[in-house]
Amino acid sequence: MQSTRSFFNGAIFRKTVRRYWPMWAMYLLVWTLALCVCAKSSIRLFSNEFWSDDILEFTWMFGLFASLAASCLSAMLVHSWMYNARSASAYSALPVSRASMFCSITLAGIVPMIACNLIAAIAAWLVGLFNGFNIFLTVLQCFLVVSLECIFFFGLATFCATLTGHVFVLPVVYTILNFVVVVVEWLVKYLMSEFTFGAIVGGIQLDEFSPVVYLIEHVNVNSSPVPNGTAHFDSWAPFIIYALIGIVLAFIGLLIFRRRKMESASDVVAVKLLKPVFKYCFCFGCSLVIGIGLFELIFNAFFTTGNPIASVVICLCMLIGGFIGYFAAEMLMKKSFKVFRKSWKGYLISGAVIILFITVMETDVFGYERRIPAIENVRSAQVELWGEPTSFTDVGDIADVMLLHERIINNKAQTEKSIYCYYSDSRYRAYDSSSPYTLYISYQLDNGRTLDRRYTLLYNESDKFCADLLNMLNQPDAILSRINSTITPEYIENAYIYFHYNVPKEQGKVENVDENATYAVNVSEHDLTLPNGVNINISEYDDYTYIYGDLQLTARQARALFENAIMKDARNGDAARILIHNNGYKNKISVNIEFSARIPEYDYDDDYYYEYIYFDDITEDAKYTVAALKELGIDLEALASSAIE
Amino acid sequence: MIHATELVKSFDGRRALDGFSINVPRGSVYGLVGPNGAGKSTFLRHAAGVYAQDSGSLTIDGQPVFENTAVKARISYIPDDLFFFLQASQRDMMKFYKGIYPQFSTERYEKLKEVFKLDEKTPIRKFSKGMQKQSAFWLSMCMMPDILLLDEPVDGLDPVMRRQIWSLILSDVAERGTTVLVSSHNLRELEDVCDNVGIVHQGKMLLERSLSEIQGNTVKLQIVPKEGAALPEGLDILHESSTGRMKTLIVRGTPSEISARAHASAPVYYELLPLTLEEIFIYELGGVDYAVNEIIL
Repeated sequence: MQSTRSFFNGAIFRKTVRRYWPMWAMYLLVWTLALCVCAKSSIRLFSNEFWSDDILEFTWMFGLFASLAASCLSAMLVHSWMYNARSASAYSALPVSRASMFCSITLAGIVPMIACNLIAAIAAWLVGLFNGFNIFLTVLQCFLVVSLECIFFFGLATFCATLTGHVFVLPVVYTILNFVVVVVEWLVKYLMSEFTFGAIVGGIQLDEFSPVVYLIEHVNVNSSPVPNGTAHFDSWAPFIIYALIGIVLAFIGLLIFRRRKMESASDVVAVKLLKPVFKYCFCFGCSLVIGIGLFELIFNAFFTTGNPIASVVICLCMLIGGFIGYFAAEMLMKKSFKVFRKSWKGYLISGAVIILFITVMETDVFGYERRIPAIENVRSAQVELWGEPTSFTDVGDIADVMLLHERIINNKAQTEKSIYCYYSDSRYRAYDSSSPYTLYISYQLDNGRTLDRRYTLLYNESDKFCADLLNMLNQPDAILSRINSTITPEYIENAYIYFHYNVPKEQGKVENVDENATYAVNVSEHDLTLPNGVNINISEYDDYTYIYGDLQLTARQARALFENAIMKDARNGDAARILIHNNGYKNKISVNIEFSARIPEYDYDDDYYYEYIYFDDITEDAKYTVAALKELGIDLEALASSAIE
Repeated sequence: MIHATELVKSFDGRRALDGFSINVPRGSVYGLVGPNGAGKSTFLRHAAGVYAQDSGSLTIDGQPVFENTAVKARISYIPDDLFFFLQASQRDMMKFYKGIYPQFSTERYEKLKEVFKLDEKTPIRKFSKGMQKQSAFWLSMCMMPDILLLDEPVDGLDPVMRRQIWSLILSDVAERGTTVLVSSHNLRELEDVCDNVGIVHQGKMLLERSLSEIQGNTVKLQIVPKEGAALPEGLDILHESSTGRMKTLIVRGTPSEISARAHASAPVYYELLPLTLEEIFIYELGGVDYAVNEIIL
């Protein structure tokens, strides 16, 4: 008669916990010290302010990495019995069901960690009380968040433990599973950016599959609304969901363990069905990592952008990487170096898949390069040039963006050839007025997704496409959409005006220095401040003299300049324009203006933050701005008369 | 009590057990013998519940062993490669097993201190090989097992301790009806303690009989035939060797039967001698091409 099912054995649990007491002691020491020191220093530095934010911010971030490492180590220790034939045999012979064995050992790995988290939190609370603050709610959140992180990572590590029969393979599998999706996503996007016209190595879309990345990107600590209050996370959902996933993974580990063959101790892969999965995943993983690495390190130095044989080269590199990965996996699984003769057929299949993969990307079988969404599905379109994004929500404007996009796609062959010629022939660069620029196009779709593209194009003065693009981006509405709308005149605190230009070397003396407006065209001193407040710095070179100036404006002056000059010009389309080539005022003087604004964070208290807005390379078209600068003492027209291009 | 039928177990494509069958009666001492790699240890691990067979059945008192905690609670297994926790002392291991085995007897543990004079506080890893074996036996006997599985049990023990341990085991067999399944290459020792013997070869049970039956079924015949005369007819000869005119034959059959045949050939001289277990082992396996090879270096 079979025994009744139980899921816990006290003797095994206690023995496992006691065996690894140094691990728990070290973890407790590190955590208690970290949390108590953080609590003490935060209270001391931010007393009567927002120490809770500081403690919570530190705890969840430090806890993320601490639990990532500690959970792996804990799993390696408590499950190590599976990896040695002697101990595996001895444990399996005990009158304890596998479910009971697994659950008891797994609990022995996580319960001490959570107990240590609790002790550390209590110690930090006592530190707070001793310093006159009751930080109970804050340390309670610390305990909960770190414990949830531990549950996920330990669940994952336990799952990894059941897949392998070797203790040192566990951390490798664990690390891979933690980051494989984001790494592969990035690598595939990199490949696409090399072979697929318009592909962009953008942000990570699949970060949910890497909790470390996801939590760093998405977790926010909301400050306490009042001093000495308790901060809180904007959402506990990620932590809870990942903890539940950890429990599910541990349960799957139990199901795998119940069917585990104990003779798999010391095997790299303990589950027979997973052996081919491991082999081919390792092969393709190495083909990506080693292949791209080889290409970047060795071949990229010899091949210029756009070289048509780059795809052949990278395919070869990936085949080499795949070869290394495939046979390395075979050697690990068979524990022998003699694997080439019998296993070559599998590599041939892998190689064919790699070649097919590159071919699909190069030939755009799935139509990625030609894809433009249907206008009825597009909520907004964004075009970015020189780091300045311009958004369009009007249907007509979106249609214009799509037309430009279509022109780029239709001109793909010519564009790629031009770029290749530009980078491969220095004579081309010297004598032609072309220069490359990067254009980003992004569509925000109704279903919440985005479609992003990136193009490296070649600018030419006679290029009608460029003219149409700039015309679209420099419409007054487009210009105004680029300017930060949170900054309004009443928030502006000050502004800085920076300008620089070159004069011929033979011009040397300061003349006509007065306080009214203009300052000297010819200067002899290297640093001076003019009566109108403009600071001047002079640098002499072999053929010319470089003159730099700056002027700080008061709040009143800055607000007037912003409201009555800059924004007027912007509404007319004469300032804040995007230009391919912009050499400033009459191509001689570079003039940049920086406004800083102090914007209140909340409506009901004194908290605020700073925002900055920049207007670069003011041109002669910005009439109001040029006039205002003249009144402030910077006569651009006068300066331009002696400046050189 | 222990009954296995057509067990098959493979490791990386190699069949360690290839249709293995065995029947171990209750309360017997069963010796499992065979050449290296025959599958003896593999079967013991199946009987201990460590391995699950690929096919076939293995039961103890009609119950399957694998994942059966009730059955495994009655089994004590001492492998050839002993296990103990790295920092554990004898006392620590006692506490551990006491928490796991329901029948563990602390009273017996205390009594056996007189037999196994080991320091309870010293880590077992610091003991010699023989002392570690004693430690294993000490703990094993305290589990009060109904079934004792022993793989090379007395390897490393001094003669006095060997005798002591066998005495304890046989005492349990007599008083408690413990069933013992022992695998060993020390056939001389097994001959003294075993009731039944199974000879294993290439994953199969070659021969399985009571010891008396085996010894009664194979005989050494020393015979000097008449000049020019042939050997007696109808003999199932396992092995033949000669020293001058004296022929030594290992023959399968009962002594009376063989004596009758020998007598019928009217030899100059003949004598029947009993075989040791070691000789039976060598000559039985010689019949399946596992014999001593005469090699000239």
